Amino acid sequence: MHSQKFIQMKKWCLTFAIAVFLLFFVSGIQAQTTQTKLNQVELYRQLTGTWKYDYNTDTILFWEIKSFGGGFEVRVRAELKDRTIFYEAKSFIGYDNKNDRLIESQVKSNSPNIFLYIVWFTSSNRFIEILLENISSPEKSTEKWAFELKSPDLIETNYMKSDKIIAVSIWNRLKE
Amino acid sequence: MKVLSLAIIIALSLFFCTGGVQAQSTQTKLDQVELYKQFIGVWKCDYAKDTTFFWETKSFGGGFEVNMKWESKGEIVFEVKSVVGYDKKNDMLIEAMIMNYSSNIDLWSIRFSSPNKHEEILLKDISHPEKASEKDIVEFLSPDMFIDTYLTNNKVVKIDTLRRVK
Repeated sequence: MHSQKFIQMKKWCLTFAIAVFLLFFVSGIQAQTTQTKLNQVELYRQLTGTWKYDYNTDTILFWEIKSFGGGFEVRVRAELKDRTIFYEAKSFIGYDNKNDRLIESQVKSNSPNIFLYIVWFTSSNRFIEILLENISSPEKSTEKWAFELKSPDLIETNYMKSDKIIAVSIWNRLKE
Repeated sequence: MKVLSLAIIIALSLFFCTGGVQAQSTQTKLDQVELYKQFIGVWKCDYAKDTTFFWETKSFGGGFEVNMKWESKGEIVFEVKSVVGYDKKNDMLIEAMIMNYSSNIDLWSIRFSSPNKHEEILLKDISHPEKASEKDIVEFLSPDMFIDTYLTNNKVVKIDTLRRVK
């Protein structure tokens, strides 16, 4: 009688142990998934402000990012030393729910065309930008921009063609 | 002689017929960017009781920047900002829109079917425009007035008449 009870208890203990193990295992997986899901909009918010890049001795680029609603309004301008603006681009950035990425849409002072890009953070301080037309196979994208926030006030951008770095630019945050 | 005359008549009719077809193709190819320039300026309409809708379009390079505001009792209720530019591949315009009440971006396609009329649908519906969930039909009645008809699932939901302010 006692041994039967003991066997039954052993069975219960084993079942309970398995259930607890499964519970921890599932929560572990859930925690991992949550960790890898980055909040693209919040991460882009780190960039709000004005950034400057000394392109060469005569040309300075300014990159201004402002919040608008939950999205962003961006203006890039290229200035000569005498502050003449010779190039400007305006874009809006917002969230693309379907792909969990951001979309940047841009018009430029030297073209009637619209340029569409997708932007996504791969970690809290790194993000990639490619043309929207390459969204289905990003690895095949001929052009790519890789950004890294080296600090809250410094961004390094690598412009790549066929996975080869063509140009590196360093952007410093301007104090407001 | 008779054969030669007949051949000349056939050749001439073929020449005029081909020319006609060519002229027709040229006629149907509308300059989408030029036509959108009709919107440059500030437009206004009485949207609802106590709510006024303002639509401002400015040139930016060869494209456009658009700002839309719904104001009630001197306060902005909604605000939408967009850029509009040419999509060479599809010979149409694309409007990318962000809203003050959302973090999302909406992409719309715009195509003029005649010099004073265009349709706007979500870019995701471009392969089946007839099934578009949302649609805006805009028609200029004069350089200072246009009608904007908004449809969902091909049913008219709202018709607004916008008049030029500037």
